[in-house]
Amino acid sequence: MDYSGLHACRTCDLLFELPQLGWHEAAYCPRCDHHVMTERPRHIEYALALAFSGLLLLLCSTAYPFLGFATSGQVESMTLLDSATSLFAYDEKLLGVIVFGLIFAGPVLLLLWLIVLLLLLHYRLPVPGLPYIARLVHFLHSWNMVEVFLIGTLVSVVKISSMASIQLGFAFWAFIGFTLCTIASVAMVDRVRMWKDIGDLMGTANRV
Amino acid sequence: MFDDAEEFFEVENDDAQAVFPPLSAAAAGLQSCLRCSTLAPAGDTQCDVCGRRLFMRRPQSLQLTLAFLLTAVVLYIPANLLPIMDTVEFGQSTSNTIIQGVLLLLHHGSYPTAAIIFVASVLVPVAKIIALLWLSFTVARRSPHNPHERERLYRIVEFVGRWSMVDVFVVALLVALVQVTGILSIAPGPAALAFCGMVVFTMLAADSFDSRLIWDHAFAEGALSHDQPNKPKTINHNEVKSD
Ligand SMILES: [Zn+2]
Ligand SMILES: [Zn+2]
Repeated sequence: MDYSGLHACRTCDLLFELPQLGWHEAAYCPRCDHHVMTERPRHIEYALALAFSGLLLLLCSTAYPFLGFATSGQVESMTLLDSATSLFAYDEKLLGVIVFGLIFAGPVLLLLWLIVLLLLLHYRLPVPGLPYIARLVHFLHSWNMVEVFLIGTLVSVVKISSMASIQLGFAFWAFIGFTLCTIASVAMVDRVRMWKDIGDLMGTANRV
Repeated sequence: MFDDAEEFFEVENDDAQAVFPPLSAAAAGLQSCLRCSTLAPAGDTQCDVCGRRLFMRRPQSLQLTLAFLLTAVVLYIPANLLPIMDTVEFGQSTSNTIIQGVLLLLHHGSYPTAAIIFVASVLVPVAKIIALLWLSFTVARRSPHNPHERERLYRIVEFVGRWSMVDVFVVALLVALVQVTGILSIAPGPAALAFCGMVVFTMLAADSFDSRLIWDHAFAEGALSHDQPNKPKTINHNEVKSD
């Protein structure tokens, strides 16, 4: 049986026919209004460019001062990764590992695997590991909290600015750029569209 | 969220006796994959496209949700009673809980920051736990009422989940930031890890809840008309730029 035209809403399980969507057109569930999918022209290429920029900006932001303090004429500064590693100094190892994972390891892996996935989709290469890479991207995306960390940075700056004058380093601006690129890149890739492409490429779609 | 939480618990699929409402994929004998939305006939155990385990409804959805919620509630207590930061200034140490931190910010006149921390760290976690408890309760009672409102509530809970993490990041940043000054030092308190755990467990709880259960009972009790339009609404977001 061919189910290719049918779609079940993932939040209310209503079965309906999904029409062929035009560019920039989005479909919503007729019952619960949940977003079903959006078609964007050249979304793979845009997402690829954004993911590349995001990865570069993140790597930049680890190499330069993130936030600095002006104390007695000298500027002392911290890097992005200090916010995870300084927790180890206070023996909060588990918390340090979680923070490191959420602000650095997770986003780096997400962007790296997203780039690999998008390249494979762009060149239409049905390598056997493709679904596994997509699953990994899916998982990393669901635990991605970079924008939350950005708000945390702003709150910290406000909190500390009553004590000393804070200097926003180059890495701070790079991190804002990285956050915007990552959000935009991930938002460009539609979940349903991506898996339809993978299913078609691997020859697993509608095998029944 | 944690896509395969139930796979760690080795639970049985108990869909066999369930009766599904008309117009749902389940009633048509189709399972929709929660990861890739591919449809598969009932009885298939694994998705052809993405390899995810298939089921009509998430097995033991309510039990898992409640188990994760209970863990979150237990962690919420130390997260609020223990200090989240210890500040050492001129040899004098002061410990602050989350609430004390908010009061201190209010005292200094930084109202927006106090509001962010209060909403993200105190209000949202409690609201999230109560909302999920209530949703589970209505589903367990097979309530047919207000499926649209409950669905919206669930979506809000799912969306705000990660934002409670903001306080954990603030602690991590302040510890590192203050360390470079030398005059003052801030140490992370035991509440930070408890709070982090609480956020993670409420996220797992929200993810374990199968929102399709809300609609199953609404349908079964006739609260929804059966003549729903089965054409999706489409909106063109970019008429001008389309090529
Ligand atoms: Zn729906
Ligand atoms: Zn699947």
